[in-house]
Amino acid sequence: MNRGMSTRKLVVLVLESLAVIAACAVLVVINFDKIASYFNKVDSSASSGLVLQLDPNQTSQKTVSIDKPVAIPGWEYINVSEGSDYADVDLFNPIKNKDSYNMSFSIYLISSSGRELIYQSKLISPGNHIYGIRLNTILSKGIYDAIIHIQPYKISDNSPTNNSDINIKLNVV
Amino acid sequence: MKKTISIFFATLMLSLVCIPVYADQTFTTTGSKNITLEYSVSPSYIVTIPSTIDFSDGSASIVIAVDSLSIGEGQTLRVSMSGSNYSNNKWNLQDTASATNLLSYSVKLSGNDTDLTNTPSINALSVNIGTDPEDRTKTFNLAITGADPIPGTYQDILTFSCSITP
Repeated sequence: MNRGMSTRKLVVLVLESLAVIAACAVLVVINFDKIASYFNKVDSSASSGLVLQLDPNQTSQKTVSIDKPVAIPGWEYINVSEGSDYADVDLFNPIKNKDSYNMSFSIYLISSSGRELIYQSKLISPGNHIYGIRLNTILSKGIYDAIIHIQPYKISDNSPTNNSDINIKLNVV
Repeated sequence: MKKTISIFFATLMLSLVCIPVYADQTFTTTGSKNITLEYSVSPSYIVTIPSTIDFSDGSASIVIAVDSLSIGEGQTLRVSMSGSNYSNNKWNLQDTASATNLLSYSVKLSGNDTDLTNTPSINALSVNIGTDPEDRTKTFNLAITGADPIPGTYQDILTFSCSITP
């Protein structure tokens, strides 16, 4: 009696399993196109998250922020009166440097022994001028080689930038 | 008598009072008048130079330009550039942590493959008042040439020298 019951249950279980397998097969056949396209897009390493598409963020060059160029003024000469340490000048920081660079001016006398500092300004902001300066020395009449060294500084952090040497003649007349 | 004397002195004082007389401000003249207008212009110029140069990609471009120029006929404005760490015929960046660590770089005029760093100073630009506006700007390409650098932060400061000749 019990053996007959067990055999019947086993048969029912087998039939139910076959029904489930048949249903799955039908679903696969119905959705075959979708399943195929899915496996075409994703390779075997899909489980790692790698998608075989070009990354839109790639670039051949790193993008860097380039600072605005510095406008540097230049002159040919400065005139000084003999016996005086005062010079009429127009040392200025071009308005083009607005919001970007302050600058300082140093004047050096050039001789065979090297450079001698004869004037040092403080920082000049963009658009401003110095019209008269007093030199550290009084020179006798003549024409001297000199350099105006211009050192710009970033307004944002006061760090120095590339700089410039303006070669001039210092005329003592 | 007193009355006569007082009238005399009053008349005398009135006669000594100075009264300014102004000429009419409009002149009428025959012929012509010359008025001299004077405006002095000293030789001057404005040059733009790169503020800083970023080698983060191993190379960089810099532009040097003459923005305004007021010099005489026959005169030339010359701009040259030099690095701060020139040695062994090379332009170098210097390690901020160790002055002995140098990293060389090349400087080439844009469109030209000749490295110009075998001299401490490079003639960058020469212009006169007849120079076309497009020729008042020069672009240079800089590139790291040193191999296998020691890790660190490397810097150089360029100085741009300007002079008017002759």
